[in-house]
Amino acid sequence: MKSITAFIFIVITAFWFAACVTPAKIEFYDFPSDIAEEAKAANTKMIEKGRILYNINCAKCHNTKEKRKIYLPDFTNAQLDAYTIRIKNETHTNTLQENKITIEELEAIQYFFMYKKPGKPVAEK
Amino acid sequence: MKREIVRISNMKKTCIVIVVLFITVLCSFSFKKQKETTRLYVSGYIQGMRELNENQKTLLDLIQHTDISSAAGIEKVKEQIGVTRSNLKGLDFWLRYLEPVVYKRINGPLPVEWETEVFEKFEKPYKREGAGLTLAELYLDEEHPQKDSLLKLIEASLIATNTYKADSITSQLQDHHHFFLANRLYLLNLAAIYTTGFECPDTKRIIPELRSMLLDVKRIYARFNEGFASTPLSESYLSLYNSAIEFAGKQPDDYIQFDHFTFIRDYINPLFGANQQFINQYRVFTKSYVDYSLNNASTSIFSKDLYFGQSGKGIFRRVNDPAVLKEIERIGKLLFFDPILSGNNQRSCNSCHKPGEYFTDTSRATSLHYDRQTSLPRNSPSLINATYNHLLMMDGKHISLQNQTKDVITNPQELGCGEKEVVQKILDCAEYKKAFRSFLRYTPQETEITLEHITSAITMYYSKFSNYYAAFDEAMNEKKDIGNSVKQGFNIFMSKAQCGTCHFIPQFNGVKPPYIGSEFEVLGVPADTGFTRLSADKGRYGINPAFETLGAFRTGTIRNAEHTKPYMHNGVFTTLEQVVDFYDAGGGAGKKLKPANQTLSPDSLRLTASEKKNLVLFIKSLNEKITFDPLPEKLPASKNKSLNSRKVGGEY
Repeated sequence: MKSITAFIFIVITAFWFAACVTPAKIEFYDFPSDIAEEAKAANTKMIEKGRILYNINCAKCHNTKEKRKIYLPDFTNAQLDAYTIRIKNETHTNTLQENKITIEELEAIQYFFMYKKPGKPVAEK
Repeated sequence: MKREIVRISNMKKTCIVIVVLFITVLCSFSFKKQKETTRLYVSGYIQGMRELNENQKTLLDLIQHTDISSAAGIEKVKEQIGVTRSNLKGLDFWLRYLEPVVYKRINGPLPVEWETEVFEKFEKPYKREGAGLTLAELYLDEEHPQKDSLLKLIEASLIATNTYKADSITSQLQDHHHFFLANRLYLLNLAAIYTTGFECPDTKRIIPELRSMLLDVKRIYARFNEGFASTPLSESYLSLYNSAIEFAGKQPDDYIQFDHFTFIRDYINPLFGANQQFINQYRVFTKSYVDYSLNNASTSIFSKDLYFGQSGKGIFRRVNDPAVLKEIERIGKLLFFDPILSGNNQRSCNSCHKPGEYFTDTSRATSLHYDRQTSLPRNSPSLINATYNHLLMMDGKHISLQNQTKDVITNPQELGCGEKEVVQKILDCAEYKKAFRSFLRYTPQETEITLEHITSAITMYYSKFSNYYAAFDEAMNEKKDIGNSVKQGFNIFMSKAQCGTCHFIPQFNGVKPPYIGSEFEVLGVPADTGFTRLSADKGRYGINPAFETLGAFRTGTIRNAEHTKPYMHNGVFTTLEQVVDFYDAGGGAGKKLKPANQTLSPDSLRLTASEKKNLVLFIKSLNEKITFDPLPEKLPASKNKSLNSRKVGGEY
């Protein structure tokens, strides 16, 4: 009896631990409450793509560090318009050319910011 | 003591204030000085625009008070159109760059255009009506021109010029960035369109207009150097530019006699190289989508790295490690020749794109169907230089090489294999699986191996054959001799034969400077060499149905044409001479086939036998010296043993 309780306890702790260690993907995003689960899954896939692409292409310049925590900017949709983002400034002119990143990829990043919860730190450092 | 310290600190404060004031005054003086000279540059623009407006108004006034049913009246109006266009050409340097879309309403060559430019290629094409001077001049040549219609064309051009007075545009003139980018476009246009009559229907005026434009831009240069003394055009640039003016001045007035070859090789291309240097040296950056497709590092118009075009690397675009790229390419090569990509495991890319035949199939008018019996409707295009396109396929159906490849694999008429099925079959081969697993590391945004990884490896393999140069490029870049006949052929190509107005320098396809769109043309291609009827293929109409797009096809490159027969979308012609004769006759309309919407002039070009001969010699000078590699000896083994006897390159 004792060993079963201990086992259950260990399993629960392990799950709890796993939930804490792996980044909480869904909670990181703000979905409208009436969104269907299927759409949520499909969107999450696209958003995750956007998140990774952001980390590869943009994070270096756009992330900020405050009190050992890393923050992402809270870009608005208008700021991220894929049609003009490439000519926003000198750096973009050099780094966001078509041979470095495609329009589809820029759109995935835009998607990521559309659903990302604002003001939350991404990681501690 | 304390009071002393306070006093000192007060004195310090006063000192600081005085110093700051002094610096501010100094700054504002030097600022003012700079602004004064900048203003001179900007006022050149404003003054020019004002003159253009006045000329447009004079033209409107003249039309209103002239009888355009008489030949003398038409002549009078045409003359004023000429004066206005000359005036416009002096401003072309700025206008074409600062607002290329609006420019088409001031002096567009086509009454209706379907736009697929830059980002717009991701959206449905949309209609844009042209207006302005060239269309007005062409309209005057029609039977019974109406005053109202003529006035509308000019009024539209007058309204369009007002756009150029907007702050968003004039504010760009305040720094040096726009200047070198506008100059780049100007130089590319000098090579590609200004000497060909692209927007000048009266061929007698082409060279005179060119001369006055060269002089007008010289004045722009001088004002720029005064206004932006820290980022000037160098003395050597200006002196070469003066030589170009001198050269054009000494050349004959007739654009057929004009030495296009020397003009580009000795003047325009070196000027372009120098301007690219300025762009890098002065850290010029763009705020315009017009510059996206051009590479700042490219030093020559005839360098293959000038135009980004399509990405052969596809999903691997951010991979730069040469060893990794080489490995992707190796896998891409195996896939290219692997019939595992097809539904019946008997066809590969090689079935219609044979490396020994410049990646096309010279043996068939149109490609063989998947059913192994019937024919597909279109000729197999060469994959060489496919990267230098804005849209792909003859009807412009695809916007990326990878999508195009995917379409061929999944199309039941071509390779006929389902998307999931093909990925599974490939991953069943240990060698492929291992390779793609290792590539996955370079595409962290993807969690699993997709068809895009596979198509990207294929496009990366064949795209490397687009990096070779032709004798003509070497003549332009290194002044290698290519003989007089080729030079004359090129000069005919750029003038009398009217080839250069659609096959633009330097890709020699329908992508014109600044290389942000693909052009389509209706030629009235026949179904047979007896010219009994038009080809039934609707072309671009299938993608974007409209009166103008019926039977329209994307203008292909003429590079390597000698090796990529047969010609036209349906492979109807088998020799270059036949093709030249077809254009010489005025296309399908010239052959009395009556296409409703032919964009090619129906009039004969009246080319002489020797002109045609030289033209073909010039086309042959565009054969690229490509090193093809041998077919792979064997293909990766599959878990499925029955697939291991499949033939390299496929059965048919």
